Amino acid sequence: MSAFVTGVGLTPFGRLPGRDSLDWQCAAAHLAVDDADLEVGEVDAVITGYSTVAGHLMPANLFAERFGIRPAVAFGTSVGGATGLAMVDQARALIESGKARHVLVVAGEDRASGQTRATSTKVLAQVGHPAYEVPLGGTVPGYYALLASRYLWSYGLAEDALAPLPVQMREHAGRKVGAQFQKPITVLDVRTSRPVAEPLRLLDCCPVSDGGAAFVVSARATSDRAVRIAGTGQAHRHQHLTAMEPGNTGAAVAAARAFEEADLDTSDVHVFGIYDSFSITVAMLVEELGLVPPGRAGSYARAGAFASDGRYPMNTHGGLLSYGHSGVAGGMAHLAEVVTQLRGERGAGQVDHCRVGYVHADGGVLSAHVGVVLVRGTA
Amino acid sequence: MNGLPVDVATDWTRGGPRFVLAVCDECSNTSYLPAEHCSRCGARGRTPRVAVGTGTCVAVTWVHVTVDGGDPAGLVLVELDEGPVVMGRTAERELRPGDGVGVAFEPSGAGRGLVPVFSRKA
Repeated sequence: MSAFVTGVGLTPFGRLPGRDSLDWQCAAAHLAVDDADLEVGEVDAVITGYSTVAGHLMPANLFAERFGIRPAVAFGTSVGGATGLAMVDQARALIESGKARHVLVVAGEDRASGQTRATSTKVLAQVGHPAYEVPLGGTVPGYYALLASRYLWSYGLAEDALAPLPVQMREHAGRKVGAQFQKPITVLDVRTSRPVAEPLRLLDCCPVSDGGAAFVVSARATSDRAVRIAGTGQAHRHQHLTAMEPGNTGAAVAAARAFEEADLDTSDVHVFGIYDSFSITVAMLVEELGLVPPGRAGSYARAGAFASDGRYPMNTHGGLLSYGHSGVAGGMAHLAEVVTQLRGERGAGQVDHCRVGYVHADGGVLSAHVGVVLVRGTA
Repeated sequence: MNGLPVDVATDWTRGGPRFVLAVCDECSNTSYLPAEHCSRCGARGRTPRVAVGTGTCVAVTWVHVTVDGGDPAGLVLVELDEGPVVMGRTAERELRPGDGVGVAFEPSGAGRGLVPVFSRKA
């Protein structure tokens, strides 16, 4: 049995005070259920991502009561930035096992306006090892900056080598309603923005945002706009940066599992959604996925490889770097965008002739990986 | 593992001025963070080994937006001569990836405990 993404809901991201985590989750869920053309009563399973602002033991039950539904299955999920795609993988498993017909996958939080920047920095830093890393004073940007430092040194690159990646994401965001940042930027802007954790500067880093995202995953296509989940794959090879194996973080393993299920490979893909919490994140991912040679992600970006009309159209909503990063929902926005592309509904940012999409997310410090292959059509 | 914990020699996280590594009894894979099984071969038997404390710096960052709002903090990754990568601090602005380094264990400055601080070898 196949599983289909029948509905997507993506709210605007940004510093948008006035809604709490559940408000954002409900806003996105309404959009997704309407998009799937379902009655809420038809949803029989709910999978919910965590909120860093409003942590709860039972986030799916909390959401279901507030949304006003009584699903047969409900549970929360927590694998950092990979949570959204891990929930899609679990939704697919529920569909294929016959346990559910319509699974609502939802996340959202007021990460920007519901807590101080200092609290956000401190909460996120806890992905570091509590004994061996956190006491040294690291932060999430600090951990990724170490990856960037090692990367630049390993390939003999200058400090501006990664800057074309955020520049490309910003160009995409300029054509996407709801993106947090749309004003065009240059490589010079990236390199002269204030240092967050050298060599990473402010514009190498995604913002912290408010917002929500939701999907409906179904056992049948509810319209001809449905997109089939052709393959999913995961890999979990370490939690902490200190234990990471360079060049084999798990990204390629997860992708290979997803593409094997789909009986496709990266050369078949027309549109990509690749996790881009930092410039270095997306660089390491596209290289480990084999899209570009090692050390060349920035130069490929500079040459337009990731533009809408490039060889690898990627993150055409602007990605985490410019659409924004609202926690779990941030990693779901890539899938919402790829589905919209495959439906041919992306308007000014539409990629021509796209039929196959690939979405990849990581959580922690390239720790948890999930890849999803999507194919247009209801067959 | 034979009941022998890998941190039998007290390492820096417990106040001892040393890195303690674990060497797999089956495949000789040497690792740093505590783990019940060898991540390479899955064996349980491990023998602790105290690292010499020298290696090659492979990454440097200066964290400007710090958790406590303090001055920029230098963080490094060092590939020890025994193989594993460890994280530490540095106070040397001139330190670059590729430099040979040695460790000293210094008071963390945040209450009790030691932290590894790396400097270029003389």
